[in-house]
Amino acid sequence: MTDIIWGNGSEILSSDSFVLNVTHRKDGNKENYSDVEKIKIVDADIPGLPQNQSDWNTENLKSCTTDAFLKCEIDSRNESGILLAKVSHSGAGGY
Amino acid sequence: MWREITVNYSGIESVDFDSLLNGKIPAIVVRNFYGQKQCEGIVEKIGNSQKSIFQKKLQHIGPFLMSYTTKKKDYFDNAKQARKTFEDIFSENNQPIVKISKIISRILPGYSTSLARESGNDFSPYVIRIHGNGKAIPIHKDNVKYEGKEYDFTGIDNQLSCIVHLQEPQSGGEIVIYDKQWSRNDEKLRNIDFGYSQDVVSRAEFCKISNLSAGDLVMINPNYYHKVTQIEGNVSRITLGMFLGLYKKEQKIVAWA
Repeated sequence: MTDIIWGNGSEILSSDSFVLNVTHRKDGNKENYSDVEKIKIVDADIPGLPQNQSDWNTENLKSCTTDAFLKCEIDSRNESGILLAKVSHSGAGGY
Repeated sequence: MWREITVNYSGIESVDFDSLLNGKIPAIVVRNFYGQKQCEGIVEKIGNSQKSIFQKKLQHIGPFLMSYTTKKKDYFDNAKQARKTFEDIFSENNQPIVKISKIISRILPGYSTSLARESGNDFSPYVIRIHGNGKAIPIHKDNVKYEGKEYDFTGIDNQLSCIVHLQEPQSGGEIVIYDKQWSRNDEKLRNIDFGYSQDVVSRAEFCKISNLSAGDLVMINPNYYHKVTQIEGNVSRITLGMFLGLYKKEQKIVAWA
């Protein structure tokens, strides 16, 4: 099972990476995650973020992730400690 | 006191509408938007209509935009299908959007009301929700300019929510509206699946609308936090939901779900 963390987007690090302030962790995650994690997006499902990654830049990533509540499905952690993750806008689905 | 106002179908006035937009009142309840017999007929047709199961637990008819925030093609494909179902459920003159447009034309003369369209695609006009015993809707807001940013609603000045109550449960299913509007900073208080922590409305005044009957229409500003209390009993709560987006300069109102 994939590890999952949730939280609010914060500082933008590049056109495909940002800082996540972690608020929730899935029960049963295999790894531990700190309250602040750097995330590199390997796949995205975020309203407003272009589907084509070549169209991403720091501006549109900032407008779509800063403060937004995001779900990060963890793929791995690289040698720099950055989490590679599928990132999606969480819980907008309604009732 | 922050209380809803209650009117009959022909009794709503523009001042009420302004009060709702300005947050001076939490809701307008329009009694007998549909008659009791009409509701029974509509509910019977709903019973015979195909439903979808949302998130493995909720019965719906029709898609709603917030569950398709990044899946526009799927939304519009499903909306096309749903419109046929709604045409079967409601006769032409009884379509909720037609009845609401009659209210709008009276209180906002000069405004047009139509179904929202984007790039030649019609939005779904409604979503019908059938919620049974034990279901509740957590504290949340609806703000299409934030969560529906892939759709062309950037120009709306106000968003309103219209909920037509078609069948009331034996107990519960009450609407609670808090005197606090959503702000982006509140995203820190989100729940994982949907909605927000109770902390987001701590100390906020609230209004609980308890005495609704089948056929009543409730209009709220959905950027104010709201929830539905737990439904109890064997009779499901059946509601029809739609949003209205107001473009003041263009004097038009569009509807979608």
